[in-house]
Amino acid sequence: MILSPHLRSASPWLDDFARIFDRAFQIQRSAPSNLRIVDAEDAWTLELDFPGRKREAFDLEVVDRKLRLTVREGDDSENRFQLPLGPTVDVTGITSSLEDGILRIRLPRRSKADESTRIKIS
Amino acid sequence: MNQPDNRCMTESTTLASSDRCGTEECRTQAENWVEPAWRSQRDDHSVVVEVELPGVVKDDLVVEAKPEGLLIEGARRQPGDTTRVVYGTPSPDGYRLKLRVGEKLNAPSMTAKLEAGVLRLEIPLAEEARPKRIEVG
Repeated sequence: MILSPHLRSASPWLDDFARIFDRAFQIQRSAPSNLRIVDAEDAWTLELDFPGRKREAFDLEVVDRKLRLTVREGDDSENRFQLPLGPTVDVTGITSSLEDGILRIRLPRRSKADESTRIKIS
Repeated sequence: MNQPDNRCMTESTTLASSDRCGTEECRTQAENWVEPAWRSQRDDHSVVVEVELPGVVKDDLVVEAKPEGLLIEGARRQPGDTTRVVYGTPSPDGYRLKLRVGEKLNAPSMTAKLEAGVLRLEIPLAEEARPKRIEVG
């Protein structure tokens, strides 16, 4: 379990989330209400409905193993959320698309081979 | 525009959400079809209706002007396996909206445009509903 006890007790859904993903992610800020997460064998996909929005309205970045999404509502308003990524997410393979009003962010799982590191004995 | 804007149903006598009934509705419920969020705005010449249809493409969209009203139906495209939704509400299979259209609207002459998951309908006002300038003699 990746969430600290005080976070788990603060929000029941955070606890559920942590149980589902176990070491994969943790959420520090409240998730957008339209967030949906689909689990496939090789990746998780975050799906958010944003009908009518253009690509320029979004900023998506990974900083220090945290996925940060900024959604600009207008000239002077924006919403942000942040998703720390656990060790089972391959941050180098994250991709996203905005199509027909749906933003999809694909978080590939690291393979077992990636998780282990071979140490050379000199 | 996450929720249907009910104000526009009551403010205007020209557009209103119609009653839902019949076997077709039962079918759509079983398949998780939902009523999409929509809003309308009227000016001197037309009523513009915007309907949120994320995931719907032109080929899967039906817009019909019938004597009893306007029918909008669109299946939402689901890429890959969406059965394993582990957080949030599963996306609907599609959207269905029926609107009663008043006599003051010329529904058969409307134009429709679908862009980025938003359907924009422009329904011209019937001639008798348009403002008329009266010359003062």
